[in-house]
Amino acid sequence: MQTIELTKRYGNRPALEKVSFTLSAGEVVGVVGRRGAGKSTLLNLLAGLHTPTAGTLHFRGQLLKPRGLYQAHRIGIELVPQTPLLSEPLGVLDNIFLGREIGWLRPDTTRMAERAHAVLAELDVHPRLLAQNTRELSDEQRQVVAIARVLCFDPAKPAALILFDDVFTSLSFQRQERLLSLIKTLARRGTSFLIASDNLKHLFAVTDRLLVLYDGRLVSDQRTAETTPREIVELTVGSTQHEQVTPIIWALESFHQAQQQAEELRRVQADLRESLEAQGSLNQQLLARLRAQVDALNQLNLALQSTQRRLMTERERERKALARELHDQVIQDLLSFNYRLEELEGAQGIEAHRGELSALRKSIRQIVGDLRQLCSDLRPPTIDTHGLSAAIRSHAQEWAENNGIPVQLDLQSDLGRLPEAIELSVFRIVQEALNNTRRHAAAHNVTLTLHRTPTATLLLRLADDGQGMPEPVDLAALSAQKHFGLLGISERVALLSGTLKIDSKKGEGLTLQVEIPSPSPLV
Amino acid sequence: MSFIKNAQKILQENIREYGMFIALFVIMAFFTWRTEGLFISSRNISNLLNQTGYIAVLAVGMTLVIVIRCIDLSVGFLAGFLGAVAAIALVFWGLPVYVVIPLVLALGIVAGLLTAFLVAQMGIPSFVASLAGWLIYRGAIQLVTAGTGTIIIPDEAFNAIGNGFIPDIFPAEAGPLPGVHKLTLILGLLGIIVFIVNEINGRRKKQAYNFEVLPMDMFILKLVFVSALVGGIIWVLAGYQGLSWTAVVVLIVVLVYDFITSQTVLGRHIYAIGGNPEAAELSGISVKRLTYVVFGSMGMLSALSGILFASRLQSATTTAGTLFELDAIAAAFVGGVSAAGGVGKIMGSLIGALVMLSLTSGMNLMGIDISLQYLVRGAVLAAAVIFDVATRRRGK
Repeated sequence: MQTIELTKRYGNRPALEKVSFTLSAGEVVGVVGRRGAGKSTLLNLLAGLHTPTAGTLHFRGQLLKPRGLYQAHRIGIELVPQTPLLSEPLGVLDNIFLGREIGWLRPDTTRMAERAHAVLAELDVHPRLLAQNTRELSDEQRQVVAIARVLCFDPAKPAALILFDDVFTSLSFQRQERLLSLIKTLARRGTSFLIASDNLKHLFAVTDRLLVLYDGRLVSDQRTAETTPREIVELTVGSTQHEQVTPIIWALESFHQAQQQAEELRRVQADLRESLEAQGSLNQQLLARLRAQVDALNQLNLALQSTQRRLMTERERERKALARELHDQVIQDLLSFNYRLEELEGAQGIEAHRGELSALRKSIRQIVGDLRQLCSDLRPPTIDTHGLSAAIRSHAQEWAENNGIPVQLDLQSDLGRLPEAIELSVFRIVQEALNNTRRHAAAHNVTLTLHRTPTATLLLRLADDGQGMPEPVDLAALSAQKHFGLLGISERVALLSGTLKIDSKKGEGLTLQVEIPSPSPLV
Repeated sequence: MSFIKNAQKILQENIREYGMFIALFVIMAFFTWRTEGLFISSRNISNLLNQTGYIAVLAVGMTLVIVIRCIDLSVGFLAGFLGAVAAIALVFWGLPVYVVIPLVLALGIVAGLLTAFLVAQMGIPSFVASLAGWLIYRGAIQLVTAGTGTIIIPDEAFNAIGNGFIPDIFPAEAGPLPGVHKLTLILGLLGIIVFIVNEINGRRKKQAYNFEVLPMDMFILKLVFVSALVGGIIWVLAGYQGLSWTAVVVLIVVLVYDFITSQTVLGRHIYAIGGNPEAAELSGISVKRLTYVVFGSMGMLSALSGILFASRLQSATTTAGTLFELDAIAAAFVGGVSAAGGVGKIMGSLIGALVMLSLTSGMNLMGIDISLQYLVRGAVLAAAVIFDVATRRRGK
């Protein structure tokens, strides 16, 4: 390829003045210049897109008459313009092979797709690009299609000269690198390149020679290896003054560096976002699983509680029935035996046995007494008839008498009647707690309070001045030692959805506080 | 349920493509109802196809012209003029038919290339260039028929093109199915089979490249619908005198052009130019060369249209071809060709021509006044273009 005094004027304005240079096969030449220096004009003239005002083009030793891109394409000159133009009604594959279809009548889609896949792979582009709608392509994708178009030649008949008019700018950094290495490979196979670009770094990496245009004139044509970026910039700007050139070099360098860094940053950011999203979704999954397990556990707990509650009610009913049976049947029977024995005692002719009978009656009365005690233990007789306060009061009195420990009672006077389950449970809790105090506390004084709180709960507090318990209270350890008192209390409290608090210090007594949600008193 | 949903979705997405078929179907059904079956009778359908012939041929060529963002107004009088040339060649020069037809077709190509020269080489807008042609050919037809007036064509073979029917393999009353044109049936059946095989192959190929294809049920529905439509028309035609030579010519033209536009490199280039002339130029397509090709083909089809018309009237008249160009343009637009270029199918234009001619034929049968007929046809054309513009806007 050779140009001699190539000139192009638009009207009177010269765009290119007497540019002459030669280009040999496999050579990669860069074209540098400021905006408006004539880079695009030069490339368009070479591609036959414009007709030169003066001067001639020679290609492979023959004079080239520019007759449109169509002609240039036929002899192996390909142009990738600055802004890629695609035909929108056609698909991406048809766009890539537009004007260079394989097959003369019907395009051979199979082979076209194969070749397009190969070229896209070289450019690190996913082949799904081919299935996209041409109208919806991004700028970079359009540029990729335009580049793929000139690279999709038959490997047996490579393009002679490829003109790249500033195609790097809309490509991502990695793709720029891919394209550069592809240019090198193709140049080794004999394809020449003319690359117009502002990116000196790319040009110095890939070109053999550099042409510098200044105001439409070719001001320098030297081997890349024999020049420096600074010299090129000096020529581009048309000045050797240090203070003018340095900032431009600096700006160019930092611009490309910044571009590269921005690209890298964007990539890392995308990666980060992706991994964050992955982690987020993993977390969510774990949370969901956890929630499901907690839900299942809650359900189980509820079921367990209701079973236990039923068990407890059942037990109370049993006790009640047992107590009534004992009271109504056994005690009455024993009493009637006692009356009959009394009658017998007064009868004639048994003087010899009177003493024995009297002893028998005494022991019967003893048994009746014991049974009555048993009955009242099984079922506090007062609780059904007189309510919780009366039952606690009577039990506490009895307990105080039996153990010789005074019990201070502070029971709310207008407590009223509560649901049977609550009344019984509270009573049993009091019973159990007093039992504990008797057995372990060695207390001198016991205070028992029962109040309704403003927040619709029932507050039971039992305090003693005994030896207290070692903290913290470990229910599991207690149950292992077969001390079930506190455990029973805590179970009952839990069944009523209440809270249990134990306040104790070694040697300073113990306070047991139970709070049970309670509905308003029944009338 | 999903079948109906699928059908709705496909119809909505491809309304531009299928709208024409539905419109034609509705129009035909309407006229059949209003004329108590007279419209769908064998004789009328056969007549309708023969009348459509010379407009359909022009519409096919016009489709390509409009696709590359041009227009050709000269085709009507060019057809009339070339019909007159054919008559003169037959009657006064005494040339045989098999010479006259290629000669006239060649003249048509030359005329088309002339227009193309003005458009491509001189850069004259096609509207102006072809308007000049319109005037010139109008003058030319009056010039060549000035001495004789209407030229009666006595040639049987030539007149058969516009009036004759293909021969049957059996005598009409013999063999199976008496009174039915057997060859027409066989050809129709073959056509349907080829169509189905083609469609299935095309679908396979598309799937192989992961391109989007119709869902299976919709695909079958389409095959059944098209086969039934074609089969129905063939059956109706076979009940009269079978396929006319005009219908055969139109079918060949449509099939060839449909193949070229949808399957070949040439077709792709034509659509690429219509879609974005600059992009096509930059990709190395010669827009000039293709302009010559498209206008050349338009000229050739104008000649064919002139031959069909002269043959149908068995004469060449001084007013032959009047308003053909506008009918052809209307048919193309009704058939879904876009005035913006780059969009339009050959099949669509054929359907468009059928729609316009069905309207005329149906309204004639109903005895509607000619002035009202123009109003209706104008409204249909406007509706078709409004529909085109509206669906395009929604597509974007």
